[in-house]
Amino acid sequence: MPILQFSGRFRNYPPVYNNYPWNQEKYFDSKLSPNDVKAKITEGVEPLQYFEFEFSNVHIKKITYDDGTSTSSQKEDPVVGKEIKLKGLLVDTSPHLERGRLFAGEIRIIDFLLARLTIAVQSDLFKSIRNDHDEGAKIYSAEFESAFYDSINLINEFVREENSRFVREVDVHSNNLKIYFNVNLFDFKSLEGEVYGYVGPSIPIEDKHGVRINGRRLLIDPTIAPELKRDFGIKQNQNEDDLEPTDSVLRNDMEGSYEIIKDERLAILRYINFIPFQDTTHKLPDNYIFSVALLQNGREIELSSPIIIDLDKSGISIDGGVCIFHIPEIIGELDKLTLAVNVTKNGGQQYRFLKEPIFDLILENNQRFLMLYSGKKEELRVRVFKNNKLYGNRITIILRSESHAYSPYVAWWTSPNIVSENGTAICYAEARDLENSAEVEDPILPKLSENEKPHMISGDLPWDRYYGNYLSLKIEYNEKPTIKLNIPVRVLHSVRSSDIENIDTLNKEEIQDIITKILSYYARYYPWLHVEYRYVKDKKGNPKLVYLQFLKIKEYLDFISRDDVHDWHSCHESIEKINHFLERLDKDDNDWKKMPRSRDFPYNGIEFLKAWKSSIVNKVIKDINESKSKTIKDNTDIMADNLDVNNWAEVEALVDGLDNLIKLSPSLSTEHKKILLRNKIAIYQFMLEKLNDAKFQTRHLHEH
Amino acid sequence: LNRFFGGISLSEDFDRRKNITLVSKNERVNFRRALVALNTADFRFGGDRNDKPFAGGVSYWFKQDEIHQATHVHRGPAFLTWHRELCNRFERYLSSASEKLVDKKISLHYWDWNEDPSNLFTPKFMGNLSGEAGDPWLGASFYNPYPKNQYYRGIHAFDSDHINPADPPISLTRYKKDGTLEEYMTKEERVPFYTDQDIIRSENFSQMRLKLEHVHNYAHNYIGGTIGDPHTAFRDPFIFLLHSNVDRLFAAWQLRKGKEFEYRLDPNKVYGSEKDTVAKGSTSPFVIVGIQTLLSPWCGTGYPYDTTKNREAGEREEPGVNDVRPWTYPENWHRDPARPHERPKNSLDPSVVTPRLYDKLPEGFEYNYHLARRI
Repeated sequence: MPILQFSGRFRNYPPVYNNYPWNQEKYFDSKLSPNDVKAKITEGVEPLQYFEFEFSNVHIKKITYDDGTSTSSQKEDPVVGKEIKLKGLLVDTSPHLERGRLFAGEIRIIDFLLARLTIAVQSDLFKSIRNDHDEGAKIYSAEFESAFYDSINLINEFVREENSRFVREVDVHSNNLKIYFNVNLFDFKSLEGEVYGYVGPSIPIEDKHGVRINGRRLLIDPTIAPELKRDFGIKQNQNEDDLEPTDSVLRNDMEGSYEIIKDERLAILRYINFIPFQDTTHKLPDNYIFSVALLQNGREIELSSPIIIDLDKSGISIDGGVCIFHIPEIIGELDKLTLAVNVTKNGGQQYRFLKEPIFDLILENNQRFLMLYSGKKEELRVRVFKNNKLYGNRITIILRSESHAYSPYVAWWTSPNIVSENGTAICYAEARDLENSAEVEDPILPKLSENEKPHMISGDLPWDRYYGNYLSLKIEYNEKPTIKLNIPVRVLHSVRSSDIENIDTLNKEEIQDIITKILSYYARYYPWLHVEYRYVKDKKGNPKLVYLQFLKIKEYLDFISRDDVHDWHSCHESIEKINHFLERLDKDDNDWKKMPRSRDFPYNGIEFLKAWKSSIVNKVIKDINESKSKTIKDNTDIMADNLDVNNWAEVEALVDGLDNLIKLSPSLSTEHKKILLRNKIAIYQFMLEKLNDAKFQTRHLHEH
Repeated sequence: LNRFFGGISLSEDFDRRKNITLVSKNERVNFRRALVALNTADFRFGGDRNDKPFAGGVSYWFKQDEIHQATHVHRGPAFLTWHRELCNRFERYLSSASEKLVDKKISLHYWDWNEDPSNLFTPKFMGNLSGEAGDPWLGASFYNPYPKNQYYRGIHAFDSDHINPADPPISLTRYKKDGTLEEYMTKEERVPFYTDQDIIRSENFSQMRLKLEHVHNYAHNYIGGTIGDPHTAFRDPFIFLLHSNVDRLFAAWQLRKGKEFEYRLDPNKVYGSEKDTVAKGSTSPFVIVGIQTLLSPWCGTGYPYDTTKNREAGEREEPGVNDVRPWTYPENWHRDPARPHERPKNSLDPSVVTPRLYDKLPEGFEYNYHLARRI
């Protein structure tokens, strides 16, 4: 499968304001203009597009064919220059824009394919702009990877076997494709950034011989020369050591990774996260050249021609932020192969910049985050590699639970360390019982002075917040670089199962309390999430654009009690409201129309809404049955024979009876006549539905 | 027939759109026959209903509902221009059907909504005005109320099990209100009714399009049933008579005689402050289409066939809509160099700005009829 390298821009609309718990709630106000909303409330983000992520002007710049040769000329292959369109919903796992997950992704490569994307999880963020003056999101880069599914071939007359080598080599029926992309230089003002990446075959973590061929990491060589540290902005001071992983997803060290397409013996090195760019134009440190070294059993192989990473702006753009090269035949076993990145300055001495660590660890299935339900414990399996094969001997993994500035401490390991055996270790993460918590420090409530004691909270912790912190895993091994994983953990509130089971016994206040809780972070953080545009007229009759809230959470919270369900219309209204919510909550995670934050809705929250709905319906059914029985009982003398609704003759007789009543009662008021006529119409409507059903029905029915 | 309206002869003149109540019996028959023809095998887009990812084999008639449902350009600056493009394109199909049947062109005539259209609703023209539409549409398979094991489109546009555009709808209904549209709006709905003159007198495009869309919305409800739901409205042939009238009033506003109104035929001036509007909202599902936005689905997805290499980020203004063949895979008409008329365009394109010629524009104003476009 040839590799399609691309670059361009992306747009993202994160809910910036709403994601910070100490920001005040800002209520929906239909009088505010869209510009005012953006200026005063959402920090420039269009609320209609909250969480949306999309490619913008992304085009295929280069094709690398199966033999390692490539072209970036549209004349040589018309697939070059084709646009790639991609959109999805980028929802963060943990609060405060950490570890995004791209849901409901769809990709279209013009004249090649249309596909849906599996959920793509964001990597750590790497500080790829290394200077002293730029700051904020734009200095970071992160990567995503996602497999295609439901792929549909779109190859047509614009690209044909006759004019495209890509078409000749590609297996259009392959279900084994993926996209990798690196997003960087994101600017919170324009909400845009740059994206580089490729589309190629999906590579497993290990080949059939157990050799790791995907996600091999390259980290800063601990013996890096001082000159490089200075020129590359790699600092070491009291608070910051850029050679070590941090305790969060914001990493100050550098990391590359590569994968191997075994059949074609091609390696794909992803370099954006480790090049020490000097500014936001991707300027390189002066006079440095970066190259790839291949090592067999730790010894560098002499190559017939050096593998230079083309890092001028157009080079990065054409290559899609990756360097693809052929693995020479001299390297027999892939587990003997390692890579390094060397640099030379002014054509002088060569320095080792990055090297592969001896050890590495990943969570099973390459999991990068954890969602825990309140009070629950979860088993995690850790895999340990040494020299790209599972490590058979025992080694200790140190487990640490890190506090978080935006949340009380809510998740921890159940033991301080574990030991791997045969390449695998099992550990357990446990979550605080958020509904019945012991006393814990709350970093969100403001302290008036540094000397003030921290605020403590306990019991049922507020539901209108996000809870989470990091759990880390580190291999106990003296040699650098340090191998560490930081896993953001989100802890979700839970509705008690007993509240669902005993829903019929809960009173209005109890139900309202639970509903208010499970919807409280929607109400608190996202009053602007469920809006659409409307044009209204201003005083001069000119159109004025305003927001209209189509899912009114606050209004929804003002609901009726089961005790009021004798009033059928309010019951109907209430059920409609619940359905309106459930429709958006209950969809598949990969459905665009699912409420974005439903992916982390409180545990049992949807079940509680459903139970509440059925309890209302049950109450109505009970009331109707009681009324029906009472009617029959109170009129036994004239209701000897009950009506068989499936006996059409009886229903017909009922209609005739109504007709007679109308005819024989000339003194009936119009209002009374109207009631009888409406009954007649209702029976007609009932019969129409019955008759339609009867067309397809085969079983015998006899109901009263 | 040789009547004169506003100094324009109607006699056997196929170049102009006419009040449907005033066209000859023969022309009305041709109009109906051409509509019916558009739902026959002779007028069907390529492919098969089971094609993936985009259904093919859709009749030219059902295509209109597919287009309208996929795009839904309402409540925004491009409401009038987008529907003008839809009407213009449909008129070409209609005319080619008429040429095939009787070797005569035909225009997309209009229903003047100041008149009660009840007389149009007969089995020989528009079908019933209350309940199921019946013939001629039932007999011409415009809908199928008894699909048995056959495919059909559901009553609701979001019936996801029955949305294949190649299939006939399961119902086509109307519940026309009594009296005229104005009576319905002012007496029953108690909302303002803007007269033709109110609309044409509007000082600028923005005011005019708001008034016109407002009356248009109630015109949908006035006919009721299938037309009453904006997601299914284009399943009823009457919709084109309605929208031709909407376009006529837009044309009248543009064609007013006088130096001060000449800007209304200038693409760069006609839309006033809304000229630079772009699509607003999410790529799905809520989009307000701007004047700069390419008209969809005809603009297709992806770049036009020329090139994008000289375009900057954000320069292209594509709405997020569902794909509709043949402006997507595999036909890609919008990118086919052999189809220059399918080239993507926005509301600034002269073919959109220049109105079609109508037999008569509302009284009370003078018009430059000669500046309108003939078929």
